[in-house]
Amino acid sequence: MSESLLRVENLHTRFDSDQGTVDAVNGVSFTVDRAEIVGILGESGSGKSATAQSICRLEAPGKIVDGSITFAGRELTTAAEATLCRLRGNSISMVFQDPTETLNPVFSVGEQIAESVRIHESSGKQRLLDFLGVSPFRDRSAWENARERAIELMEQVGIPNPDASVSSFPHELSGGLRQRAVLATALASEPALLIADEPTTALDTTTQADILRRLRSLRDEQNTSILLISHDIGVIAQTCDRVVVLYDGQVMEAGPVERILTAPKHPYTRALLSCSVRNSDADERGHSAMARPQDHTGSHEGCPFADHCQHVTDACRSGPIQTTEAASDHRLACVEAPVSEAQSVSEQQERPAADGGQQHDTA
Amino acid sequence: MNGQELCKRLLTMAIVLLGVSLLTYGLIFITPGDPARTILTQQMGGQIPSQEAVEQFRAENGLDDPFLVQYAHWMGDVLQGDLGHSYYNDRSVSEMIIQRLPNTIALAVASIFVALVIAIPAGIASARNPGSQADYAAQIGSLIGVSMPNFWLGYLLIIVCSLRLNLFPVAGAAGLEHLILPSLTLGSGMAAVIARLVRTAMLDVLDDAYIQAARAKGLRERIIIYKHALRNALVPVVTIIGLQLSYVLNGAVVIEVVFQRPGLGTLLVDAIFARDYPVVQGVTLLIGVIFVLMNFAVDLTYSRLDPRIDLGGDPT
Repeated sequence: MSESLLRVENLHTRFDSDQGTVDAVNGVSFTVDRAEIVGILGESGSGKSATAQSICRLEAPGKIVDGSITFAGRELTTAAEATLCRLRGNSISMVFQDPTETLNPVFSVGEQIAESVRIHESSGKQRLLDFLGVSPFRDRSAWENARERAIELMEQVGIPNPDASVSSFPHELSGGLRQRAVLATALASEPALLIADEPTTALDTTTQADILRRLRSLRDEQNTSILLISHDIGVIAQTCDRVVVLYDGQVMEAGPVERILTAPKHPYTRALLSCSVRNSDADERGHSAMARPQDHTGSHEGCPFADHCQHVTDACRSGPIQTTEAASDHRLACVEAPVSEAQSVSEQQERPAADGGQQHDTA
Repeated sequence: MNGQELCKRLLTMAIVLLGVSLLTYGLIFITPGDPARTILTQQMGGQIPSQEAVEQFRAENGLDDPFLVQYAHWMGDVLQGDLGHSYYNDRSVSEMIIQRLPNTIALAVASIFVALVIAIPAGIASARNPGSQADYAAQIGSLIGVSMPNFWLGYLLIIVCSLRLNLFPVAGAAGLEHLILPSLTLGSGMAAVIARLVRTAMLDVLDDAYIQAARAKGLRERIIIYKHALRNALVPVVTIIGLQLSYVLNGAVVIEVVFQRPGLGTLLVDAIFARDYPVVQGVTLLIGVIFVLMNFAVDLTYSRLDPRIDLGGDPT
């Protein structure tokens, strides 16, 4: 385990608002090894984006209140801003959900990719006037090279006709091309870790499949580690080696994708899976059934899923849930799951529809 | 913008200018005070002019024609490039304007420069730390700047900087040192409005996802602010600068009087008091032209700043 590229331990990220305090990330631990694709699976509000932002140390206005994040042996929670600036976009790149919003509308795509190239090359000193493009202060040949590199990158991520697209503005491109451009930006520095926060959610299925294929080949060819955040079990199943299931800022279950998605042990993971395999109608019911805890701001003892879990016992609410090893590399935070496992697996197979309905009533 | 669109814009501008000139012409027409009597009284050193002299003056200057005939005469001359002559001396209005215009342009440009130099950093400082002391200081400064009448600030600056500290000359328009106090006076009021707008626009933009994405790229905060955020925040700011131009030109009238600068403002005020209609008309028309052209320039700037704005108006 010591060779893990990224190691997140007992991470707590807190957001203070007028309404109170939200522990968006509440004791999350996981690792990402080199050349490994790890998925973070969870519904909206489960703290998966806050986890991703914390790793890049872009959690503001939130605050990391506890825990540690180690990247390539370097502690990030206490690192200086200048160190983080050198890491971001260089060793750790990030791709966000909506490419329409993550590209700056007023600069051409090529300029934005070239900027990424320029940020980390040479001395790494970023001069304002050079980046603003004020003519006598702009290093023209360097930008020309960066632009050439941008065209290469665009070709690499499958943007057709990159010579022409390089001077297009984001609004002139389709959603899929935009996300490819964002990906090109992220790959400019050949990062060791790529964090992709819902990278395909805003895209259609064919584009989604293509982007996911590119992520996998990135891992296969360049040994890039990828942390893929999604609410979509299908995306995780297609792409990841291991998965971490988050609920209310806590890890419910974590382990190899095949094991978690074929034989889930945690009631929450099972509920999540049973939603996704039904038709869209039941899907909606299932999701509303698993509504997030009403009082999101208060701190609660015990399992966050207790109110919606059909196997709930007093032990679930009495105190913090211990994480247990169900198998090697398969972690589980549930007091009931190991005992009720056999029962519920058969239950899941026998009456798949009743499961969701029952939860709906209690919600 | 294509040629057809340009023609449309030019036509609109022509109509606006026609309206402006008709309106000022009409307003002068209904203003109390008879130019013939006022001017003759002054020329005769305070004596009341005889009725024949008044009528003769009116006939010479076409003042007894109906309103529309007078206007048509004037407009016809203007279209041929002749703004007419002052009633008082034989100097042509265009000559008087050309003599005064550079002073006013210098004042306007310097004021806008002062305003931007104050407003953009102040607005950005506010937006970066909303609720901080710097933010409150900038906001209070803005409030003072907006509420303070500029002629009063002008006199205040004259008293403190010129009379007490002897830093700058009191009046005149000879050199750069004459420009500092007037442009500070005029610019600070504008800065107040612009700073508030920069703050709002920046707060808005700083919440956008591409700012976070720029941080994730590893860009320094300074470049994020001045390149990625400011460029997006500038569109509303440029709009307000275009609108503030009317404030500059209005303000110039007052400020030029306060600082005794020979500019368009003083020329206009003197002409109004003296009922020197050709001068009033000429200056007003010029201000109208400047205003319309500047707004056109602002519109052109939009599409330079934000490629999504297409002035062609063709949604495809």
